[in-house]
Amino acid sequence: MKRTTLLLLLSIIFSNTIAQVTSDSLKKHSASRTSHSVKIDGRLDEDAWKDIPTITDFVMSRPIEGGTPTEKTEVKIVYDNTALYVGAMLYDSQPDSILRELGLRDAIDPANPNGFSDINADNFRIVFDTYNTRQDAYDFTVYASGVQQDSRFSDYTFDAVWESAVLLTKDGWIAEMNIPYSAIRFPKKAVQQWAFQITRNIRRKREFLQWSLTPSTAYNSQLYWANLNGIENVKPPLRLSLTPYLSGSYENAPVYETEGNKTDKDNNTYSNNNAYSYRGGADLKVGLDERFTLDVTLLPDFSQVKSDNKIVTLGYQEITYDENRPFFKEGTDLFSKGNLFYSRRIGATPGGFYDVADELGTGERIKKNPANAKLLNALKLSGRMDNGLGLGIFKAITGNTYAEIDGPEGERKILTEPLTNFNIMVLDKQWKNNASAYIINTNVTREGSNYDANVTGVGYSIANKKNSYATDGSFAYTQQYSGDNLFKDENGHTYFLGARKISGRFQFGASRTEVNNAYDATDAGYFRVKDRIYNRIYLQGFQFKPSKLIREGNLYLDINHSQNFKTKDLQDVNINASAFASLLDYNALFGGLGFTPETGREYDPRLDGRFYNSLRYWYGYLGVSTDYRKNLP
Amino acid sequence: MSNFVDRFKMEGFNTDLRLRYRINDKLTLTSNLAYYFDPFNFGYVDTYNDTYLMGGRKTNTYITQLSARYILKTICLLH
Repeated sequence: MKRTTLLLLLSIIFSNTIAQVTSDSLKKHSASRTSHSVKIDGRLDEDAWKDIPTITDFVMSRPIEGGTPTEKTEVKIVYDNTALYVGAMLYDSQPDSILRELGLRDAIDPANPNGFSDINADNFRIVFDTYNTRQDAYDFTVYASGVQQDSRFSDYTFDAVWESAVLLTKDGWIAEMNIPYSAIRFPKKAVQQWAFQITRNIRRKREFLQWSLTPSTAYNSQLYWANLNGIENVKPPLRLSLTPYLSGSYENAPVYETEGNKTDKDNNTYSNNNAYSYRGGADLKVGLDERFTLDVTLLPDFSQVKSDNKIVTLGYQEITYDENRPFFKEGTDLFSKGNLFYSRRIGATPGGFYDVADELGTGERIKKNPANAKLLNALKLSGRMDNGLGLGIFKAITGNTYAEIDGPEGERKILTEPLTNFNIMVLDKQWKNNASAYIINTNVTREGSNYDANVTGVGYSIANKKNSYATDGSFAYTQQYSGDNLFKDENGHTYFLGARKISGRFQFGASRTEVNNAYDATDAGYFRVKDRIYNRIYLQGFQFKPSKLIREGNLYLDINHSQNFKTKDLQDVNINASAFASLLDYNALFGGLGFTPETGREYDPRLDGRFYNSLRYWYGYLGVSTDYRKNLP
Repeated sequence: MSNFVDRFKMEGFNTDLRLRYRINDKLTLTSNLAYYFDPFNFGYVDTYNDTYLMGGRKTNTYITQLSARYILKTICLLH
């Protein structure tokens, strides 16, 4: 009986007979080839824009889903052998009221660089899914103040070289874009078939328009995007960039010694010591074909990279810092699968950095102790084939790092970090709609008698065809070696399994995570806590359409339970609830509460037999946010 | 029931009041007034004979902040 029930449940969840988005029901548009030149000046007066199909029938997404827009929008798309051009006439009945606040590129608020952009200006956005996988896309946005914003769904750091111009007119505003083929990747085919979406945000009305309406309840909005046809006989250009550099430094500093040729005001003798250094290197990026890119960096110079805001903690969990080095930030989405790669491990503080002071003999002093292992070179090959299979290979080598000691018996060196080789290999397959699976392997080998490490991870995500239910899971296995022998008695593992309802006004999910006490992915990656089992369930409800009181809102509740993996002792139970409501007048209310009815002992891994007893707690909060469109919110 | 309630003693609270005034499309003023009360701020005190001493203190934190931002161009700003 139980088996029958389970089969029935699975057949409902994964049924193919449930209504779904079909290709025939999607909007279509045909881009027009032009032989005329297009000047990006915000004026759509060139011949290229004349007598071609125009996109007009936009639909309101917010505040009223499916409503009629209050302003008219017209968009045209043309292309030639080098670029795609987009011209948009964004009519507005009150052009002098169009909000046009200026912001930085990508519209990131400098006070909150990790937050979402939110400048007070209208915007126009066009998004292309060039491989028509409905899982990734290139996003190009221009604000009424001229600010550009671009990203790739799989890579928010994506910054392309493209042109845009805006112009305020008596009828509204115009956005004109030139997106060269070098800025995007697309299949090498005679006839291109892309998916795309166009949106417009009228900020002062908080009105959001879409050309292809995607229901708020949808999990994967890309399934509703329109098809873009008509782009034919265009060739992906050669992608090649080489950035060489040379840098030098000179230092003149006093060195106190008995035979010094100078004397200071306290009659101590010293000599002036001259030191200089120079280095050179290069970054190379080359597109092997339209799908794969090879990035190489040789003796990289990261001296212009912004420094970290250091954090001091008394907790036992390691602190992570953001990656700021461009080579490790760009195009690394494939390598982030399974969260097994933390790029700051490469060129990190040497393992023996803090031990040098303890190794000093009488009269010795530390002359030099590099705070970072020196990166010699790194290589990154990544791309995705037309069938959706992504391949990533990463290799980096950091050289021997020495502390230099000066003493009565001369100078000597202490090895603080040996030559280390980081290797990563990833295969990631994406199927149409919403299914994917990956396998990743990270390997760290160190020269000499130091230990090596290997981590293998697999994962999947799959949704039913209606995109209403999904399940995902992952597994990782860690090993550490010393020579041919296993360094640890036990190898580590972790797994995650989850199932969720992912669309509709009411959503819920449950998951379980296990991390055994031997799990250690810190050689190339990062993890927060080991020796733990987590169970979690959550429920959430949404209101997308305006009612008598609120414009939109949501409610959220989750219950989390954790226990020690080895002893099965309870660690923590906590319950959290939160609510958000945006009122009809655009003021918003939010609040939440939570409490921990039961706690147990934290097993602090630094000292055997020592524990940290966590405290029970409760919290509550309430907030008000006034209308954000106004000058004084 | 009373035992249950006793287990949930308030640890602290904080308030934030943020105001932002957009003077024009380039210049924005932001103010933040905040108060944080923590009756038991737990942390490291000292090391005595290789033993870490931890302790608690009562903290009252007041924040008064006024900041301005002027966007010169989309690649350059004063903050």
